Amino acid sequence: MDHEADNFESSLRAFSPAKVPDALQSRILEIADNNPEKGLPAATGAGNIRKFHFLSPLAAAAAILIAATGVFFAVLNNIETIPSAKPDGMVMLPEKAPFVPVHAENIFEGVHDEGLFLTDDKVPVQGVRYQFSDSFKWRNPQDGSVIEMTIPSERFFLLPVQTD
Amino acid sequence: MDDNLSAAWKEWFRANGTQLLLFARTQTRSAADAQDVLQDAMLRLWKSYSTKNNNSWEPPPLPLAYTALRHAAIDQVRKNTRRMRREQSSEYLVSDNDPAGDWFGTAKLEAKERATALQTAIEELPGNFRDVLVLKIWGELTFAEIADALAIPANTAASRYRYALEALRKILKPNSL
Repeated sequence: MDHEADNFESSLRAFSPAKVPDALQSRILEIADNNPEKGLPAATGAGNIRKFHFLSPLAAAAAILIAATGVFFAVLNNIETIPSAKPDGMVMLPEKAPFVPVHAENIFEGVHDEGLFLTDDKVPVQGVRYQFSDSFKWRNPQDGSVIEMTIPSERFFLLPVQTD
Repeated sequence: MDDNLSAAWKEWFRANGTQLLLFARTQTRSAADAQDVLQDAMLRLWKSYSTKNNNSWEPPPLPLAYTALRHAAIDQVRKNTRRMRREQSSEYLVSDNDPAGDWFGTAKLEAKERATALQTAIEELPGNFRDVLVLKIWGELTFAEIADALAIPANTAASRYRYALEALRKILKPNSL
């Protein structure tokens, strides 16, 4: 950088930032008198997490349904492919190929307005329920047998309502 | 809490408070907003980033403090936007009479005029130039630290600084400082 630029930088540095007002300085130094391990107060983020307790049973039911579906098809796929242990301890390869997924489809069925809800914090939210039907198809490539399944599903959204 | 535990943190703020407030002023539109942003950012830093070392609370690194200031300023702008929309919809007559305040501390009248000219010139710079200039000249950060604070490459910080100096020299009249 040339000499002129250095001079310009020096002339800028000659200006000192205005001092922090005493009242503000005191307020900020007081912050350090509290124990930081107690976590963030509500206004700074942690308190903004809203818990929708009334949705817990719905979420639990959905989780059980998904888990049960997964277990069912896992068992179905493995039931004929579990290697049978021979007396001498050798593991045999499966004799039949498992079912393979050949088709999956998510069909939108409709949407319903569920009206307004109030959260525990008295925040108004709009409930919207989307309905789908999920279809799956598996085929056994060896014997051509087919398994088809259609599961209705719903997704429930709570949308914040603008009030200001 | 024991004063000794937070002594390092307080000393850190006393040493850097003026630079942090200057940066807060460049990120906001009024002196009151700048003070709110500084206080909010310091509160967040104290709660989230203070580390205990040798039985005392160590202050955060300076680039992190400037990053926290930027985030707090963005939040402040969002809050102000919502407030203005609400007040306009309520047909309140809103006028922002809260000035930006003096960025630089001067006692003599002549120096005050030059400081005001400099402040006006810095305000005219594009925001990304202004940030780098303020952090380099008055924040005394290295380009690597500026890169950390603003989440940009160090080379970008260096080139923005060069462009900012050129632009500032063009805006300011020759020998006006």
